[in-house]
Amino acid sequence: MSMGGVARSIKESLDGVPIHVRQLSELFRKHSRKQTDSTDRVVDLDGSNVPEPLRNGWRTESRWTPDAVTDAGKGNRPDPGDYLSDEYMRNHLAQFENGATRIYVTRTIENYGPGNNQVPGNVTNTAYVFPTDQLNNLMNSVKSPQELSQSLGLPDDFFEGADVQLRDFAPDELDGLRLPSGNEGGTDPERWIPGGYLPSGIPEAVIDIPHDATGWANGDGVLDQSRWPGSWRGLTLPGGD
Amino acid sequence: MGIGEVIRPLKNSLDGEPWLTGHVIDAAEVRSDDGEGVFVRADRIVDAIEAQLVDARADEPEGELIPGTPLLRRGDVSIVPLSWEPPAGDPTRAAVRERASELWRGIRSACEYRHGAAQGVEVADAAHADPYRRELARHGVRRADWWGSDDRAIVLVVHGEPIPTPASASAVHVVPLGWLSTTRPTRRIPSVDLTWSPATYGWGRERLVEDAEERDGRVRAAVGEVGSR
Repeated sequence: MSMGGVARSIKESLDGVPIHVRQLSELFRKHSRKQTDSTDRVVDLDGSNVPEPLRNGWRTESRWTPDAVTDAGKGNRPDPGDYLSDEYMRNHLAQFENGATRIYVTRTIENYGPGNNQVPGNVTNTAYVFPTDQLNNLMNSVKSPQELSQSLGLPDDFFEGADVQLRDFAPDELDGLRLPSGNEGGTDPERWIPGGYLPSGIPEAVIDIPHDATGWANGDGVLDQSRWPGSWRGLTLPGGD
Repeated sequence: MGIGEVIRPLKNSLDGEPWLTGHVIDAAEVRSDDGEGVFVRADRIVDAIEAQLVDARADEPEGELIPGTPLLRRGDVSIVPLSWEPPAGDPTRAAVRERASELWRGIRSACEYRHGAAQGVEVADAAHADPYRRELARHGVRRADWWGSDDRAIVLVVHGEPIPTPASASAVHVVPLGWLSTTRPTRRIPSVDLTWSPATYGWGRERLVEDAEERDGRVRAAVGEVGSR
């Protein structure tokens, strides 16, 4: 079949696809680095790259579309409850019942602590986290640091020669566990999409970090890790010894 | 020399005396001109970039971003020079290089804290169709990392021949997000002048020493005023 025929066929198949699925599909495609050729881009339009729960979790009566949420910009985005169903959010957060983990660049956590509160006008101090068990599964399944980087939406060379560490937050340390609104400190405007997933399909959430969990650069001049929630864990990269 | 006047491209010629933002460099040592650490300055630079060039960029004139750290304006581009490291074999150069590396790490750390992991810019192609990437290559930028902040991109650039050759200069560029974004790309990027040097703007050793002494004087005066109350 010619490309024109494929495009027509895809277009016809989109007639019954809700607008939010189309937009989510496009967001996942645009914000992911994995799709590289035009055939993939055409096929993506069927919405197959949108996680199934998210496809069904968008409130169809919401005035917010995925594009509108993204375009509102950091600081102006709505609460996820304005466009996601309660059941979806409940199920999403249940993925964190065994704890959450975040990957930190060592110098950054030492300079600033585990939270990201430096957003003008933002009084919260939060951290993006992954479900610990899913992150562990991912780290065990990938074959190279580059594959891990791609899966986590990080630059390909992120782990090359990098001094990084994991921080595990136990279930009782997940204060304020919630879906990200996209207004949080540390939100990457180039990659963030609504719904609690990375463009690569890995689930994410945010937790509250105490304001005194600081580092060298943003606290009282001391590095007191006893104030930090969570526990340190070394990161063993795939392909390493 | 006027602000917009082009000097020699960085790639082919980098001379003059070493220079490091916020520091006084003399034969004996490299020292902060206000006593603060490199990481603290890096954090203040990024804070000021966010406040003045991202949130309120239209009002910010060329001059100093924060005391001791210059700010150049080139149309849609703001340039915050960080270091200038001409070839030299003396211990001063090594000290400048060490502090410049610390500053680079500090800027990265501050940006990672605010905006997450950096993204890389492909800068190897001097014939690139995109004027900004082309200029980066023409100016000998060997590495560029960027973060999105609102509708701007903060770009940390390092000039120099490929590693292991030491870096020759570093700077932060603040450009429209669409110049680098793959999700919201700008269709037409205007030509851009990224040239600068300490000599062009008179940030030489004497000027910095004078500035530092002036600031020291103001601090002493302020302390005196407080003490006299």
